[in-house]
Amino acid sequence: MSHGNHQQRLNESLSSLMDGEASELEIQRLLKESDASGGDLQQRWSRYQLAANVMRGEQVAPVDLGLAASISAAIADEPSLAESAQPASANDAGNSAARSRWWRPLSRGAVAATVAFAAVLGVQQMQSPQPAGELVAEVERPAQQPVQSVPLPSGFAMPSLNTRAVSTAPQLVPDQRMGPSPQVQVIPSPELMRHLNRVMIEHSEEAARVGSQGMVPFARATYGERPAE
Amino acid sequence: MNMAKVFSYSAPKANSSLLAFLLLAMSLHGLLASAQSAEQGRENTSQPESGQAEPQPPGAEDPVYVSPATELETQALLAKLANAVTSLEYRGLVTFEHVGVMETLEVVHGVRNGEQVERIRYLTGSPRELVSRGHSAQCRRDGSPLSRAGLWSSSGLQNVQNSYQFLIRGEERIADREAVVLQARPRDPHRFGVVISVDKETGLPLKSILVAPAGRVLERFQFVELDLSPIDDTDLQPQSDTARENDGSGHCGSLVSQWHLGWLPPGFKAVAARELADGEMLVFSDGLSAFTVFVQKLGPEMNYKGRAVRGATVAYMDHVEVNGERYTITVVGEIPDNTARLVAQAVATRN
Repeated sequence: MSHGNHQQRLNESLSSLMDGEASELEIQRLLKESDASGGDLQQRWSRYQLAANVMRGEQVAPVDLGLAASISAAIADEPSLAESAQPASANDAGNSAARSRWWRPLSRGAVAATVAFAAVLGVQQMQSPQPAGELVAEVERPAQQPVQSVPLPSGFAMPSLNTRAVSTAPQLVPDQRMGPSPQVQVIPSPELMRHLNRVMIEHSEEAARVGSQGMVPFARATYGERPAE
Repeated sequence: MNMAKVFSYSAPKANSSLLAFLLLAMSLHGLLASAQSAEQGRENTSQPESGQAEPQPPGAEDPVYVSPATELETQALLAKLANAVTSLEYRGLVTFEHVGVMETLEVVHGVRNGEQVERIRYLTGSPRELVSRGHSAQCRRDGSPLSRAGLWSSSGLQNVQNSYQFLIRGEERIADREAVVLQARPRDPHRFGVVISVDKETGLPLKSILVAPAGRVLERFQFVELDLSPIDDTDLQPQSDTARENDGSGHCGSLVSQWHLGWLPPGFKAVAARELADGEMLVFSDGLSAFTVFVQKLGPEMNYKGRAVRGATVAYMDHVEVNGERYTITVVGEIPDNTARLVAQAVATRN
């Protein structure tokens, strides 16, 4: 595999990540690469983000891409705590030195806190929760979110897996009413949920008889809560 | 001090990169616009009219290394698959994912007196178990090419190939076994695609995923462990108190329905009709996908109109009034939402 090929794939992975569509594998590859190659990939990521901001019409400040590097350098330059814990002298130069000594550990802490905060944000974004067992007002059928176990078949969107326990109740998406007062049923009645469960089970068992999909319809038929007899 | 210097040095650089960002933004914008138009194209094809006119095979832009399966290859593989799911005894552990949730199941498939017995038990979440006995014997109606046994016969195969294009997508290893990856790609927007990894040795489907347009995976069922040794009777007994037992006998009545569908998605045929305590259910299949139409008298308080979704299954509810009687219509299936709605709207009395 040529280097150009590799780079191109990385770029594609990066844009999928921008679109929130990168697979587990791609994210791993990107993280590994950004560790290995350092600035190049990170700069590209920043540029994509900024471009996206501009397109969304958000205000952007010119970002100094060297900021992280300069902070790293500043931290590296700094003497260790033990060295800096010497008594401050009373003259002017000493005063300013003391102030910077007071400031530096704080800034170091602040950087660490920023990183931690960013990490938390990142985790939340990756786990973007789906409405489950709640009423959803809009239209999309929730996509399955499996883990990609093998690279085949290619070309399928495989977002990350959510292992959270979720109610097995169906989600309701009422049709928009035409009238002036959109009278949407907000709380599904127990009768409605029972009906939906029942028809889904009946359907799956029937489908098991006509299809040739082996066990899958049975898995569907058993999935939901059992209907009250 | 040091830092300030760095800042001032990098300021002009930042400005010039900003220009680069804007240029990049322009090209990205173009990209997004084309993605958007593709999205719109998908929306359009989900209308039945345009879908019937000239269905654009989804994923036509796939790279060339995907070889369309030859007629013979497909036929052999599907016949092997159909035979395996009905006649083999096996047990296994399975992962079943949908709605972003993964559950694990134990599945047992036995054959007793020529009838299939299935036991499915969820190992995660609330305990759920189903023991299902004796389908195919009663349900193998000679007229239907879509019964389990007849599905992949020559006429059944022809039918299913009118609705799906079959592709061999390569090979993979599932549950420590070699499998051939077979993709059934829908020829119109009224059904979902299926990708099945078929065990090379036995023909059992080791993995099947249900795929919506744009490659959205709705559901995945995949073996983790497969045991092909013969099944003992005790393994077919329910393991939990709450197990539901389902006896298939008498379920395959060929009821002459009083209901009629004014429109059916192409390729779907009626395969079963059954009387319920409060109405009827009609089952339709194209050989791979199936949906069921329920028409029931459930009273005026069952007035929900819209969809309910669980995993890959959608239920669309509507109602119809005939001679002052109100009937609730529910179309349930692993089919696109829009198709379910269109089917529900096409329900009418026979006369």
